[in-house]
Amino acid sequence: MKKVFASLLAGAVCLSLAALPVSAGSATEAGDIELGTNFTFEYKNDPTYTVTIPDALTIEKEGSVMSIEASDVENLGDQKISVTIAGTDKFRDQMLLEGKTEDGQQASLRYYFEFEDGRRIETVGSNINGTEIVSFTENATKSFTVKPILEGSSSIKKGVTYTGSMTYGIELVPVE
Amino acid sequence: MKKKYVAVFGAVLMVVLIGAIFILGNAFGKPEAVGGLLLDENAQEWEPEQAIASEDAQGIQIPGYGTVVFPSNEKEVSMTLYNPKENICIFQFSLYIDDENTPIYTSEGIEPGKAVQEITLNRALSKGEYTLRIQIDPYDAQSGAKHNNAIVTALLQVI
Repeated sequence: MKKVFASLLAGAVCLSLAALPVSAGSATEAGDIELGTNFTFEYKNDPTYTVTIPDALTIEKEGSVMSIEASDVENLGDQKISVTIAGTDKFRDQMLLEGKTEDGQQASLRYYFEFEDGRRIETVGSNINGTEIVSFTENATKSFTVKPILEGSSSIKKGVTYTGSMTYGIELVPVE
Repeated sequence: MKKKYVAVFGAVLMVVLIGAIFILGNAFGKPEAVGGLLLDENAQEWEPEQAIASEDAQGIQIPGYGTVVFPSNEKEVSMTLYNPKENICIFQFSLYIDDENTPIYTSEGIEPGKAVQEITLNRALSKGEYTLRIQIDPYDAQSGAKHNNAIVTALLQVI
């Protein structure tokens, strides 16, 4: 009985010791014990926000509303998400749509962006790459109107499907 | 005579079988292509830790990056290049350093809901700070036609 009790007691002591936290350690050649903790850190280069851009340029005669949305925006600090024009698929990155008539003639149509505050973005003379369209400091959707420029050009022809694409620049920049 | 016919028939059958195995093997071995864009074999299903964007959003959802950190002198790096599952287009990612015109990495096509997370750069980078331009080219999943695209600019720290 005593032996059984002693065995049980020894087993209980062993189990309790096993539950104690023990730091990783190593012994040096001199016999000293060094205690240390290994830290590991894996930097995850995951996306930190999302910007939804229009998938195509669609323009009606009276203008079309287009929207850009920012989501999952947080911890920007003193920065904002800036969405700019980074280029188009046309010569010199012009805001231009192109098409062909049924008999193969080239046709082109210029367009511009118009904002509620009256601001306007269009290709006039110099390159517009880098021009900010909208910016965000929080989750939001911002809209503007895309309008065709129908006067002042002989290259506009009826019955043509005009197409074009735009490259949007997206970047975190300091708030002005 | 009969034996001769059997032998010839057997030989023809063998040739047909071998040919069929060869053709089928090639078909299963080829990477899938969508609209002319090869799909990236390394792309895996990936879910963001929190909802990235509202499901009501129209257009193309572009992932944005803050500061990206790469190890120095290593070509194998970790970076999540993700095509949100709400998109209906295939993404191709290209990474550029500063004003360079040659990408240091280009992915194959990445389907919606998938990401590549371990990438191999064309060259290792030295310690320092760089401008990382992440060009995202969306392609129509059926026709391969190109949509509006985006260039996301981020700070790259190589440590």
